[in-house]
Parts: sequence; C-alpha cells; structure tokens
Amino acid sequence: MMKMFVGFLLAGVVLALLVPALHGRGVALEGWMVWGVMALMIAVCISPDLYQRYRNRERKQ
Amino acid sequence: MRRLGLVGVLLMAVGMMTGTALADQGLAGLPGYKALVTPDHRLSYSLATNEFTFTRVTTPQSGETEITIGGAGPESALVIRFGGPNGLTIERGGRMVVVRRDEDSSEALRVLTGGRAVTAFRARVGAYERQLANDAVAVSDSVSPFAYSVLLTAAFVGELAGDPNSLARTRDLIRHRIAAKMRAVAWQQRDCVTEYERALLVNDDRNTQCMQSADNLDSVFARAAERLLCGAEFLAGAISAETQFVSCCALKLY
Repeated sequence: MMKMFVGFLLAGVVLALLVPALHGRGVALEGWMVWGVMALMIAVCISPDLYQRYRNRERKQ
Repeated sequence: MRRLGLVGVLLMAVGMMTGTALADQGLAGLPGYKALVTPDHRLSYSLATNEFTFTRVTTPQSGETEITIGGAGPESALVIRFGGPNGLTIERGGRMVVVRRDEDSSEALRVLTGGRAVTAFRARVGAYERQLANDAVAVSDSVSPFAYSVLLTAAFVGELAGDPNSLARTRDLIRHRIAAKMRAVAWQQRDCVTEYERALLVNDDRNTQCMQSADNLDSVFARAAERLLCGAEFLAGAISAETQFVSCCALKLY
C-alpha cells in the first residue's frame, strides 16, 4: 500500500515535469496519458516487491 | 447471501413500480397529458379534462399530423390536419377550410377555431406556459420535450384563431428555456484533464519564478537552500494538482 502511494507521488512528479514540456511542443494532455503514467509508476514501484514474493513462493515449493 | 439477493430483487421491483407510476402521472404542471406510440407506430399525444379532449396523432414516416379538440357537450370537434397531400386543412361540423397561399381564409378560420372546448384547451395550456415562464423550478425539466410540443400545438391553434404573435411568443419561451439549460450545463461541466494540465503549467511557471529569484540571491548557501525550497514547493504543487485530478474524476462518476 505504501509503495502504491509512492508510485502515485512519483507519477505526479513525472507528469509535472512532462506536461510543461509537452505543452511547449503543442501536445495537449489527455486523460489516458495521466492514468497511464499513474498506472506505470505504481507498477514500477510495486513490481519488484511482487516479483520477490513470487520468487519466495517458488523457492518454498 | 440469499437474504441479500431477496432484498435486492424487492428493491428492484419497488423501483420499477415507482418508475411506471411516475410515467403515468404525465407532465408536472399538466396532469393528464399522455404521450404514447400506437400499435400502428404513430405517435399519439392526448390531454383530457372535464371541458375538452385534445388528441394529436403524428405519422413519423410521412409527418402527417391530425389534431383533434373536442368538448363534452353537443359542440362538434375541431380537426386540424397538416403534412399530408391536402396541406393545411381545418374541419369542424362538416365545414372544411383548406389554407392556400393565394387565399385569405383568416376570417373563416377564426370562426372554426372558436368554441368552448378550444378556448378551454388554450386556457389550460396557457396556464401551463405561464407556469413554465414564471415558476420554472416547480415544473420538472426532464419531460420538457413533450411539454414543448403541447405548447407549440396550442400556440398554433392560437395563431389559427387570430393571434398573430402566439407562435413567436411560445418559441421565445422555449428558446430561453433551452438556452438557460445549456448555460447551466456549461457551468457545471468540468474538464478534469484540462484543469490538471492548467494546474501543472501554473505550478511550472511558479517554479521558474522561484528558481530565478533564488538565483538572484547573493549568498551561495542561501541560493542552494532557496532552490531546495523551490523544489519542495514544486513537488507539493504537482502532488496537489494530481490529487485534485483524481478527486475531480471520482466526482464526475456520480
């Protein structure tokens, strides 16, 4: 849960850096871009943990 | 689980019954007004009171329409037909007037469109029109398209009866109401993505200004500290904008 929140915060920062640059090039922000970045950043933050859990379960078996 | 299912089914049944009852009540402010599709796929609108019976039947394919206004007494019904091969015809008690461009039939029409039933119909719809104009809050907006058609029909009858401003007046009322509704919708509409983008751009501008003022400081240490504070402010602004975007999207779901 904590890592998901960190991913959400990271997405905010990434978008804050990305959007003015895109706006300067005439690219308007779309809803899917925002949700996509959020989902990606949350995935980036929680995927190592999930992978670790998967590996541990395999080892136990 | 079974209980939950049973309660759900009961609630659905109650909901469906309430919906039917509401549909049966007709328009708010104009009780008895009914709109239905006939078995031969024609649209029928009717309004009945003790003083008059109004029926308007339209064939969607051809646009042929017949308006009938009858009374309870011995007075014969007024029948108006248009959209058909004969153009606009007005009939009452065996007398028929066909409205043609090159003929002035206004006097004959005035005689035909008089009578108790027609006057009662115009008075009833006129009262509803005034209600719409003066006390819009008390009248439901969700069924307005039906309301507009009955208003226009009464206005058309008024025009035939010799009131030259009848249709224009009703048209103005409808136009004002639609414009007001569209203004309200535009006011309520929120584009979450655009607002988010705007917030991020403002945040970026603020950060640029903050960095510039930090760079203008004389002390190197103070400059570094100020730049750090600018970064923190930028971060806080970005996260606040993101949170607002998520809550805006969540609010739009309701």
